[in-house]
Amino acid sequence: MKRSTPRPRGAPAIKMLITAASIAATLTGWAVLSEPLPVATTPVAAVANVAAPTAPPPAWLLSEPPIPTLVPVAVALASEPPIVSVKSNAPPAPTQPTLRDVTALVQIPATPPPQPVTRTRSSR
Amino acid sequence: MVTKMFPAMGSQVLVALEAVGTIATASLEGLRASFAVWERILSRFRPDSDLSMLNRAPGDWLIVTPVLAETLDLALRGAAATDGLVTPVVLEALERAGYDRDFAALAEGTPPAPPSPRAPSCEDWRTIHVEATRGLVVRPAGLRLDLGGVAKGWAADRAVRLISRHGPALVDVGGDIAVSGPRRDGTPWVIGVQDPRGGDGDLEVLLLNAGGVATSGRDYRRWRQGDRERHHIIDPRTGEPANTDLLSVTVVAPTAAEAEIAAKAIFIQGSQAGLAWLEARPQLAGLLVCADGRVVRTPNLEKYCWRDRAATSSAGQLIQAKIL
Repeated sequence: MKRSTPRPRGAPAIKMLITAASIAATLTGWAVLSEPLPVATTPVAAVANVAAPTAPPPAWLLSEPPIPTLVPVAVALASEPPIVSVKSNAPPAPTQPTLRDVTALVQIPATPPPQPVTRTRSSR
Repeated sequence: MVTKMFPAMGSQVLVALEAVGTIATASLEGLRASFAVWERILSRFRPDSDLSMLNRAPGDWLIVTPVLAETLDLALRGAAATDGLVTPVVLEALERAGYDRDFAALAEGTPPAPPSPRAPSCEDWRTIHVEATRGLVVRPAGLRLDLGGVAKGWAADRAVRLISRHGPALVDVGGDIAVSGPRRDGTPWVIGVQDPRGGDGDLEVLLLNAGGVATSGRDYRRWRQGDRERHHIIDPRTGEPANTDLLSVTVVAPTAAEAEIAAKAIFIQGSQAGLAWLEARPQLAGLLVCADGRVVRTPNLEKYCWRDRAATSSAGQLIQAKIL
């Protein structure tokens, strides 16, 4: 009796095996994901009866910080005295030291004159 | 450069020639021979010179050698240019002042002739006529001439023209100096101005590319005549050695002959009039040494003077430093 289909052997057989396994895994995964999620066991409900704060905030929080130099701008401008020259009591700036005017003469030694070929003089 | 020195025309002659070789040497010897010829023609101290024969000749038109005609013509032009201050008609005055022989003989102590009792006078130079191109001269009979006021300058100019065909040259005839042009390397000739007041240093160092320079003065050619000190530069206005406040005058001019004539004219006039005369002639530049030791230079002499260029440039770039 002759078989209808030959059984695959070698690499083609392995490929068929991997493909079948993949398909099975895929189907299994689908099944798992299709199941409904379990319901949380702890119900969520609004928190009630939270106690409101009864103590007032501390005084230091209510009052302005003790920084006397900080004045509101409007008040500061209103109370600013007119601009007058202010005599500084600071000591005068030290006077510039006297400059010694020194003319730096480059000391170059005098070049001797060239030797004359002859000299003019009254008749000799 | 070759140089040669020899005595001629009662002075020392120096020839400097920027050439080498046998031709240069031969040309210097030839020039020495030329000076000997010129002295035989122009010297008043030689009785056989052309000038002495002219002085003895009657007052007719005479044919003279070209050298004598040319030199006499130059002397007359010099007289015209100086309004008669430098003239060839001072021979009698010179002899009267004691300069009746070669200066070498005078310097040796031979006493000069006593002064003539005759009133000194100089003849009018305008009575002399010269046709230089034809070699003709006429002058009044008995009028005797001296060419000492122009001869050395003329000789320096003539000699430098002759010798410069071989190369750049300088000719110095007793202190009257002519240059042919710049030296072979293009630089000027360096010429010192001797200080007549004595000392070792030069009064000035001149740089000449062309022309001439001459000095006239009473610091050398002077002698005593009796109790009087005399010198050789006659003032034709008085017939006596010039009574001047100048010791010597040096002039730079287009030629050595012009420089010589101008130097004598300035010397005779004295420092004030002489300086004015010099400054009125921009082609001349000069230096006057007064008997009191002052030295006066014309502003245009500056362009001929050597100056310490290093000192000049340092002065121009003077650095002023302010230091605290």
